[in-house]
Amino acid sequence: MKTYDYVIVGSGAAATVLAKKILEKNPLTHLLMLEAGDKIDAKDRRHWWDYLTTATSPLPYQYTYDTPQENQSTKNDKGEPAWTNVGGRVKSFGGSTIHWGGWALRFKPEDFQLYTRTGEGVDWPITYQDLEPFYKQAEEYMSVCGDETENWQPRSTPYSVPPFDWTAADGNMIQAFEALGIQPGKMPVARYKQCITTGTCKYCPFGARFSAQYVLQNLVDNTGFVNFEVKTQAVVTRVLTSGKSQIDGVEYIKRGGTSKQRVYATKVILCAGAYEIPKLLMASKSEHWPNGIGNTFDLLGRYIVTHSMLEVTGLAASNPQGLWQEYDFPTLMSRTFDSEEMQPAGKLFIFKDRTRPKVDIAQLMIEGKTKKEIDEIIQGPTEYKIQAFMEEVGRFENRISIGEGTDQFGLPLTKIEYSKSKFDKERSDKHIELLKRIIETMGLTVTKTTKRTPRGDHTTGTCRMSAEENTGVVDKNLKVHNTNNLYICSNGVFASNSAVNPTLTLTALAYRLANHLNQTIDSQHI
Amino acid sequence: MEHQNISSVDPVCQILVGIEKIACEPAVLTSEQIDKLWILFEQIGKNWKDVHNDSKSLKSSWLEMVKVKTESSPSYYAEYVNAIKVIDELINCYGEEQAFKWLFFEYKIPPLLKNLDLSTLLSHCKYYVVDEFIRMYVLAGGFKYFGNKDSSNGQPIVQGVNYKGFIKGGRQSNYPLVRTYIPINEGQ
Repeated sequence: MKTYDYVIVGSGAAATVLAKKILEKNPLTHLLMLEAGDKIDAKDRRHWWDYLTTATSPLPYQYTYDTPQENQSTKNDKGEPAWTNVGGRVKSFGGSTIHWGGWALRFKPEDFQLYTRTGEGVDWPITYQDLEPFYKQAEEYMSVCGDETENWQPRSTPYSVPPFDWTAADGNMIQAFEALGIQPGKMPVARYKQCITTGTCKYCPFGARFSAQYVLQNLVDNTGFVNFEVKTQAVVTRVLTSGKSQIDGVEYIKRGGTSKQRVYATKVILCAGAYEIPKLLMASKSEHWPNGIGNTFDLLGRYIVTHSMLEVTGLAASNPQGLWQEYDFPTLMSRTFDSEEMQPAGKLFIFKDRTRPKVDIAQLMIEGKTKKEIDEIIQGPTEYKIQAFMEEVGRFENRISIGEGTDQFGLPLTKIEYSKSKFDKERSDKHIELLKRIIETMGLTVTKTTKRTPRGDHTTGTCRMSAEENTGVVDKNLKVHNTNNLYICSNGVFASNSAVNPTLTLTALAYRLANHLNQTIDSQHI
Repeated sequence: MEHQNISSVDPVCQILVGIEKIACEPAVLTSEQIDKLWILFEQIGKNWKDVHNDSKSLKSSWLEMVKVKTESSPSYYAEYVNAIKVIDELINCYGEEQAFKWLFFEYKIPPLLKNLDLSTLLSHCKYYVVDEFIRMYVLAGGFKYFGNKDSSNGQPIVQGVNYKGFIKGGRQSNYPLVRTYIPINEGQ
């Protein structure tokens, strides 16, 4: 009976870093990666041309999205789903960085001490300084382009790639920030040097926006990694245990099949994301784990939280300079309200919307407008939008569990129980007022304010880290409490959510875990 | 020319087909067919007064698009052949200048419920070829100078604008990639 050194469940950003570092340390490692999704074509010119020239062609990964019909969330006070997953994740070889925007920001030191500083939530069992060296590695690996003159958080080294400059269309908002004492910053984004900003980041023709898919394919193609294997369309249904602490491996079904396959491993690492991991562990009940592995204290799936997006739209009476949002990512942001001082009141990360101002020139031509008419439209009334992520704190009663039915890949659907606290609602109202002030300072008329339904892109907390087993699911080294050899590396382990995107922090955690695992092997060989 | 009035002199335009793309196997266009499609593409530049560019600078990108769309599935070969026939008929009936003016600025695909009525070869020509060529022209940087005068002072805007899909490279090296922000003090 073969026993792998590692079985990794999932193939996204975290799984890829782990595989890369483990194999670089020992190329002969027996490592099996199991992915429920398919391999998607990348850098395909036909897909790219269809994406750009047709009004209707979906991108090649969009079929993997959760559907509205699969939503099993509780309702909010308007009777609408309180949570949505549609468009929030990609289930495929390489995971969700196939479609992400590439915004790569570090958490700040205070984010790791939420409870100590505010009395809310829990502290991480590690500090920012513990993670800092791995943030550096993650930034270099993902080629994060950032401004070395900015000091949003302590850094041991500056960014190694310079930032994307602000565009002319950012100017009005930059001046409003400065007038209100808000520090403007340049959005750090994960782009390799071959980025020539086609504005088609959602399907980059050159692979210039970082995607774990490219790295993973390189690992698969590396003939030196003779014992590395990725199986797609492999739906893991259970983690196997022969006792309380010892994890033996996993059981999976090939999509469309019925017979279950078992694979055994010295170490099992779950990298399948903040939804699938808790559901998998809940489904892995045994006499030793009657509520699921790691669920002795009923914390699995709880404290689910994401970033609610707040938006304010403003209208400029005219656009005499014909300003235009020329990149497919925001270049202007500010972390002035993502600070120690703001933390007790709730942090806010603000940025200019990447889709405005913009006029669809091609569509106007298709409608038969002349050049003169199009020039007048471009220089006429023009919309701008400012957006923000608001930090929220996970609550025990907000949770995920196994839903009814399965998705197209055979994964169980997700039941989400979620509601916002009174504090979150009051806080979001105040934040909207701030955003409105910025729009008005730009000289625009506010036309719309929006609090978007929480979406699962940045879901965290469902298997959170903790020093003590009765306050979390994994320890400081991401090992499930009371197990010897089961690890989790996903956004789900975050003990707090900060106000910024999670992927860079997840990648840093993956580097840290890989370092820990490699050191553990070294010490065993001494 | 009458709006929407496809008269009896336009028999090709009137032929009814299904609304989906005309099915066919991948195939290679002849050089004559490519030349005719290129005329359509150039006319987009002429009619929308793309005076700052020579369309020829966009030709290699355009050729790549046409080749990929005809030689892979689902193929556009039949749609491109159809478009050539439709445009030939319009030109025969109305002359080249009027034909393209009508096709670009006057003809509108009729609506059908919430969608478009793509039941004629003319509507196929417009939807699957003309409209897509327009999108390609814009993304290839051909219209970086739309809105190109600052209407507050009448001065030309000398920097170009980056439209989604634009690929800067050796052929486009005279354009700045984007218009960058210049702080007020530095601009003075």
